[in-house]
Amino acid sequence: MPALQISIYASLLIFAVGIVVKTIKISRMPIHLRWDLYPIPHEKGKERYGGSRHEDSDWWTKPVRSSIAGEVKEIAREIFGLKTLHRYNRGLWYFSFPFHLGLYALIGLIVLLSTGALLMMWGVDFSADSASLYIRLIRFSTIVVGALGWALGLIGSAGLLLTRTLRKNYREFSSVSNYFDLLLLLTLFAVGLSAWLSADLSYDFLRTFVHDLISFSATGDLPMLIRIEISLAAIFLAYLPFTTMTHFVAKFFTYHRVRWDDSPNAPGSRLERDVVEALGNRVSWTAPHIATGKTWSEGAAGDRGEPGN
Amino acid sequence: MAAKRITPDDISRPGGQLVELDPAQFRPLPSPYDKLELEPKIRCLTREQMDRFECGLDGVSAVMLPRPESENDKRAMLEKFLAGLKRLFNGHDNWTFLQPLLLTMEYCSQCQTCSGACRIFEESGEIEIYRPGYRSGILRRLYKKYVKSGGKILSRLSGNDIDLTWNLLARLLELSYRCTICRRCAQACPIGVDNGLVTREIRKIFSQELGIAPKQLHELGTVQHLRKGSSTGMTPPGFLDNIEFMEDEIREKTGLDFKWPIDKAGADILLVHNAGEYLAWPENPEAFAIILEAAGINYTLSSELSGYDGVNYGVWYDDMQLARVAVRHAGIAKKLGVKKIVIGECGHSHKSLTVIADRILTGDLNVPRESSLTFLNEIVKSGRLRLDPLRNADMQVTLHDPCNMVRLMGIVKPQREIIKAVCPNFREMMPNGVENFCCGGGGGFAIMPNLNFPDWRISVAGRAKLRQVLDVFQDIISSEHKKFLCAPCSNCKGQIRDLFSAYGVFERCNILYGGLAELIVNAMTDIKNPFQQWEWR
Amino acid sequence: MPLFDCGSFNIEVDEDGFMQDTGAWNQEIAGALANAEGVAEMTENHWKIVNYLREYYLKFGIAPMVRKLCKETGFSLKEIYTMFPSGPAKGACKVAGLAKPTGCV
Ligand code: SF4
Ligand code: SF4
Repeated sequence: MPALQISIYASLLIFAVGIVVKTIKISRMPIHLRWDLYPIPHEKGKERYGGSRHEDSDWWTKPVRSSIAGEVKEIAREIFGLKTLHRYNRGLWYFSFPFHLGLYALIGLIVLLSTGALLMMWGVDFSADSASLYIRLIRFSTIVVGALGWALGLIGSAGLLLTRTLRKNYREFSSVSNYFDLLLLLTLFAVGLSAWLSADLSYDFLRTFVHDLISFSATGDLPMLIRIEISLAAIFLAYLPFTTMTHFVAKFFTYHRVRWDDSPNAPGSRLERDVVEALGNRVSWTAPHIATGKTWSEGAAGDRGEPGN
Repeated sequence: MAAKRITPDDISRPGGQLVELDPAQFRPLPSPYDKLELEPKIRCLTREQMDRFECGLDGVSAVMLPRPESENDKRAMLEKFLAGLKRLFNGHDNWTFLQPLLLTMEYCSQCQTCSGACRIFEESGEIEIYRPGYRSGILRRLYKKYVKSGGKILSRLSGNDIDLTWNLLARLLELSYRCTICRRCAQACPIGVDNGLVTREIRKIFSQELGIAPKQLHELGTVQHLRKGSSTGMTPPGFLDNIEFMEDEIREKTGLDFKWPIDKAGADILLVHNAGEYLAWPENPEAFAIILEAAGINYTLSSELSGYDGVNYGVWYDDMQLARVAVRHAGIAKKLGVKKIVIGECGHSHKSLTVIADRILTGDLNVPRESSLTFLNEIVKSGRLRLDPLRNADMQVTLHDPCNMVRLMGIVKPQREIIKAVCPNFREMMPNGVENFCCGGGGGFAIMPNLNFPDWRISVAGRAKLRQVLDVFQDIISSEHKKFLCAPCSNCKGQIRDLFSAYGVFERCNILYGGLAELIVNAMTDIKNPFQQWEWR
Repeated sequence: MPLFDCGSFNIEVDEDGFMQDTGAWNQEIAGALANAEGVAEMTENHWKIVNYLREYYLKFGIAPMVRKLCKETGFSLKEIYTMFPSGPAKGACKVAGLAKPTGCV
């Protein structure tokens, strides 16, 4: 099997393992004190202005009016509209939005290519002369979605890179990896765009490559640009889990587990058990007032660590 | 003179102040404060004070950290700091906030959206060290270099090296007291990174490991609160004496003659005020007493140690002190057997006891807790009080949203419904609600009078609020119009009082400030004379 | 600790000039502190305020409410400000040897 193919398998593996490990690591962290931040979109009827159940008298006696739909809507706005950035930093949004949209389109491209590849595996005629309207539609969408992806990604990453380089505010705070990440993507978009334009307008090469990947069959020869494109994609995938670009994982937690986590500690609940367990941790901080060596609950019962005092 | 821009590296460098504060560079204020001569001074420390206290950040000292006597002392403190830094990132030691902290450390994408949201940074004229990301950038570098494995090499390679020196330690401590933990930056962050949390976590290293915190927060704050009964130093007999005085005052002012319920077994509700109210704004607890009496509520105050002071300064700097105060409060409520605690007009007591301590109070300590704004709103809506809004018609009213109740707890509507029910002339300042600007007294600032820190707190931290208040009343800014800023929070009131007196806002623009309950009582038709006195307090 | 010069001897004060050891207070110290607070001369009225503050402080460990101070001594807040230019808390209390006020006041 050609090295190119193996490198994609390897990078997919690294990517998947990396993301899973990361997710597990974050989700296994101990329960933290509540640190809500409003508005919280699941507060039904109050999400628009940022209200909460604390606005209701005897709120603990009333049914929780949590709305999953509200959260889903908000998350969709975040993912597809970059809502927060749009609201608070429009200047950057003009680049970040196409950049993200480009990435989503490229995910779409992969999905469409895989669909084609699967159909090919099942023996469906997927060539340009196929009579099926559906097949033509898929082929056509692949081209459109791909073109959008490359172009938007290119515009976005170039804009972001320029912003980082030219605007003082950003320059001083950008780390080497901020630049490297953007540069890597910019190159990927540029190469992808030129590979498409110069060698693979119909995506037949790439589709066949995906087909060979899925069916574990050795792939044939590919034009140079496409080989570079694939190598870059492999590098990017393997590198991604180790960067701040995995903020799509982090964001799930910063939103659901921190900002929007308003679950009250109801008596007898599982949450209460977790709290009791956490309070059983021994304090290892060493300032004089803090009751080193006692548990948190013992420490909290004293005024300088003498329990019951 | 284009001074070189401060970078994160500069924090460790030897020598004096990193930045000089010059009011001429702050964002200009609206009329009538658009003239520089009306700008209060930021006092310079005296030579002798500079010799004694670390002030190498911006020439201001909030913490009054004594300069160490020897290199050995410095080394010992640096070692402790390093130990504390490591604990901060360990799930056993810092279970309370590890998850949000690590997410903040690892995932900031340097988009600088937070800077635009931070009023301190913006109003200062964008002084680099006040940028939300500057502070967390320092902690992030320290974390990556000294806590993560392989960090020493990696941070050099990535160009994000940092040297933990004495100068860094001293400046970082002060820097952690240049942010009000209003969390406006966190609200604006697309990733959900929380630079406000970073401020508190840095304070925690100092308090929980080195035993360093501003005296007013720790020794005279939580410690005094737990031992003497109140961070004001008020003892139980002192509290009872104050109550007696307020009972007399109500009688003289309104003719109403009743005793305030104290330590009443079998009451439904324990009402807890910030004890500062009794000393500085007694009209607020008086108003509560009048309303609750008139509405026939079965409640009580507590005269037990700490039971008459609802504050919890631990919320600003120390998890253990936070837990101790919360447990003390809950224990008192449990002993009284009340059905719920109602928290007076104090933002940080609201948030600490209702939200943060929710994961500290378990079993029968988990007494339900409710906001007084919600509670008062229920009473107003119930029709049990005879109210005539026209009695508040002689003034234009605006509302300040205390961060702790609003952005951080989601209490937005009740206070507005109350004001609309009792004041015919209400106008909103912009922005408001969950996107409000902090008064500038958050994070413990309002109670920290050290050296020249109050000057900074007023001109820099309070600037955004002053601007908003001037803007909302700009069409009637001259002193012939009576204008009122309603701030339902003791801390905010303290800050607004100092802010307004420094700029002479009451004299020059006739804007007075005060709490919410007073407005209700002022509208009660059963009370002959106006309850609200139009005089500076 | 900074020292405050009372003429023939020194006392320890905090950064804002409040006495460290409030128990060491006496009339001579009060006079010297008053001088530094911009009080030209301690009149009978000044003493009335200072003595009331002192008494209350010894009894309750804290300064009285400002309104109570006014009521018990019969002076308005304005009059107190005229007598003690930095006001009741920062001026009069300091002269009476009380500790600096703390908490949300
Ligand atoms: S807004 Fe969030 S991600 Fe952007 S720089 Fe600030 S903390 Fe980092
Ligand atoms: S918490 Fe508030 S004051 Fe602190 S950095 Fe964020 S916006 Fe600025």
